[in-house]
Amino acid sequence: MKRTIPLLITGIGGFVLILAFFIPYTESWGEVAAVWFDVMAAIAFLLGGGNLMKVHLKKISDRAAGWAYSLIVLLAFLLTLWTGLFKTGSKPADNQEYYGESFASLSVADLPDSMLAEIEGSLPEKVDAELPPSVRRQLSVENGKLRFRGWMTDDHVSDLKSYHETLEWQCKVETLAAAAKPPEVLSGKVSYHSDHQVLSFHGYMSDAEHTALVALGKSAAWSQAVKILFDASRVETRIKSEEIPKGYQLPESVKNVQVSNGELVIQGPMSAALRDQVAAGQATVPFVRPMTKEQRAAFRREIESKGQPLTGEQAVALETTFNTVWTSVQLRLALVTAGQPSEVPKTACEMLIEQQAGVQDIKPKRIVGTAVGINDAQGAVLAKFSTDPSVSIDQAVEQLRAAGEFNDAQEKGLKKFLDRVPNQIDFDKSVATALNGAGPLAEEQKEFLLGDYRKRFLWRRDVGRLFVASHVPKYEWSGDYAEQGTGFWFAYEYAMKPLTATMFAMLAFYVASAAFRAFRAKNIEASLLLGTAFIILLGRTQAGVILTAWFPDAIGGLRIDSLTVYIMSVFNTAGNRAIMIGIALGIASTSLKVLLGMDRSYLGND
Amino acid sequence: MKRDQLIWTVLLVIGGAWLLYRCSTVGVGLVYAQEVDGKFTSVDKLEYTAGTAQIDWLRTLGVWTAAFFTLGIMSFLYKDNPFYKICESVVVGVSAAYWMVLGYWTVVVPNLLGRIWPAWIQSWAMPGISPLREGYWYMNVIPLVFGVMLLWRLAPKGAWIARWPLAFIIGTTAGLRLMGFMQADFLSQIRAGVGPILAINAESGIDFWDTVRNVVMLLSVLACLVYFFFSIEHKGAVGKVAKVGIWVLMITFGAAFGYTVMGRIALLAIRLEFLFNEWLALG
Repeated sequence: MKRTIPLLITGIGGFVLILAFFIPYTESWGEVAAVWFDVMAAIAFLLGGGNLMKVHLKKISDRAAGWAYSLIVLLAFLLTLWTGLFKTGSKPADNQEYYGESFASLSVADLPDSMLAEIEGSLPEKVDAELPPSVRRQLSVENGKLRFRGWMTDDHVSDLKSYHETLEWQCKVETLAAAAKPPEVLSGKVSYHSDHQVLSFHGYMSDAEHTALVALGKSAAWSQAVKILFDASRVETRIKSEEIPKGYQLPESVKNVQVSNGELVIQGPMSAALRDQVAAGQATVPFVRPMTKEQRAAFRREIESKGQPLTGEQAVALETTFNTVWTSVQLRLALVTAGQPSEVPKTACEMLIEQQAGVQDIKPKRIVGTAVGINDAQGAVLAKFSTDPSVSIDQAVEQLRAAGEFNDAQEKGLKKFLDRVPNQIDFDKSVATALNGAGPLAEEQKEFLLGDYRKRFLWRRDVGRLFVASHVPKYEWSGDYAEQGTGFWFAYEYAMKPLTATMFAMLAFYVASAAFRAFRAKNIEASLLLGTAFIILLGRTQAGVILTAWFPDAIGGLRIDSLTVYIMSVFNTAGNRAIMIGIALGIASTSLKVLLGMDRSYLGND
Repeated sequence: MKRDQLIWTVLLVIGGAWLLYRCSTVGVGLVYAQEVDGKFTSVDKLEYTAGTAQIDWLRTLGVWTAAFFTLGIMSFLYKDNPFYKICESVVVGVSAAYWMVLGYWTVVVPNLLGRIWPAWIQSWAMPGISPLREGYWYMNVIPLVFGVMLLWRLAPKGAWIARWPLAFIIGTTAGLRLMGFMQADFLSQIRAGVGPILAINAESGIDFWDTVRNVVMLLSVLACLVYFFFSIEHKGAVGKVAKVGIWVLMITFGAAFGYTVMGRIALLAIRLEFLFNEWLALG
């Protein structure tokens, strides 16, 4: 019992992994064994921690020599463990928190019948796999009908489509998804998360949306859930804002946010998209256009007028920053790309119709539109637009249309391109960073370049605060245990990392000093080792390369850098290859001895 | 006071005074952080100058702590001392806890608890997983039981109980290593070593130097393998070939030594950069 069963477990564990390598049917066994191995290895770390505590507690209790250091070990261990296991300071994970949504608990059974979509059909035959977990609670088959309770999301559709890869089934899924949609007035506002058994509402609930939601069901559970959502979507959150930008106007589409009297107020939760919309406001900062020589010189004079003249290095840095701005050639290329016909994926039902019509080579995508380029006249318009600030985007589009064919996709492409290029505030910040890195800047110069950046940032910070304040955390513990700012991150970043890195760095001294004492060129072998180490060390330094750089090309192979490459690619590779072959054979024989029970040393003696 | 103690005291006082001076003039080890959506991230000093960041005292304390630990470990170059011993103790405690926490959150929670009790784990730790159990979920009880048996080693009696999970770890390690090394090292190295000896150049036919390179490489591998072959005595021709194998191995060890030293020096440079740039703000 004490020895036979462990021997059996060893053999079975090892041979399952070996079998899994050769027999495809047993591949999943190997995966399971590998996961169990990981679990055991992780638990072994718990054992290690427990053992560490045991040893050091004993040392402290015995007041043995160096017990104070044991106390430090234990304190460091327990503090790190506490902060890591309890995720102290970790914020809920952004991607798990459903920002902008209010939740109300509601089981699938409590969903009203108006949320039941059904189509003729059944599950595909001869599929052994279980239904995907995301739909298992909501999809059923009754009386020859496929029924889905709730509203189908893109994830549901994707999971169900991959359940059986035939066009018939995938078309059925699409048909079911079309039926399982919320009413038009609630489209994009409500969803049901079956994994969490919650009904969710996005943002602020208007009266019309409330009425539509109430009308969907009559049960007490439904009414209660809707009431919770209605109340949550109208909870008012307000924060003080130090820096509301001058002349700031909210976008017209935003109804549930108010900005007044140094306060930001919102009804209901705020989504990330709404946050960005509110932060941007209606006014847009002009994008930066490529500057002419004169414009560059004027900009430089303006900076210098606010303080000291730029140094030589700063002037170079400024020029480099100017050169990072987009060019009309890049814009033209972007518009040519945007003018290419686009590929749109076909639905499964479209492909099914093609299949039934006897089409042999069914393509999953169809091409929409025809290629539209940019002619020379349009190129001239773009060149003028890129340097002339008096030409607005709308005017440029008008001129481009007048100069030749210019489609809507290209117009979108133009706006997208200009959205991505830096605006004046971003550009000024880049200039400040470049100049500050190359030399000193006067306070007034910094203010000139960074003043607007600060105002924009402070406004964005306040909107971010409102975003966080209006959110009710749903999963407090969902954050990363090693997230920046957590206690565990602190222990890793400021204790473990510097300590281990410095310990390894110290080895440089010890290896070098040991080598100095031990290495003697007594024979050929020792000379080869010493000579190679010398060449490699020299070859990895700038000095080594310079030392032999003067060698003529005829003997270029003897330059230190060439010798280093040759040694590494020929002799080092050959030696390591032989060593690796030897190690592999050694491990194979040792492993077989263990698996066959010939080596039982790991079981101990008793 | 002994002479070396006096020297160190004077040096420490001078260093401390200089640090105080730097702290009062440019600020030493200061870290600036910017708040975005309730989270603080480290930024450079320009952001602080621009008025978009503030001094993060916790991170600043972190930089000072890291500087203390770096200097504490380096102090061992002089001799063993209490500062080094404190650092040594901290690294032992923090590393043990680090690996425990890592194993817990990345393996035990998702791969063990999350498979046996998915609804419970989903409700507090991993909202992204499905609360429904997968087929054959009960198989995961085996590693759970093995885990408990492994921890039994900490108990004063019945240490043999831990042999079962230990046997599983040994067995799976042997299986994994056997196949891993045979595939990744043995077969792939032989495959990489077997190739055309003659190097053909599209323009000039046979490339002489590349051919020499291939021949030297092949002969070197074979010579090393002969040296590793201990079933026959290394005498006569075999002995001579084995001798060449030793030479190749010596070159390999020399190269490995050179690389190791350079790697460590690179690490040292990083630590010095930290001390001079991040902590003392001299960069």
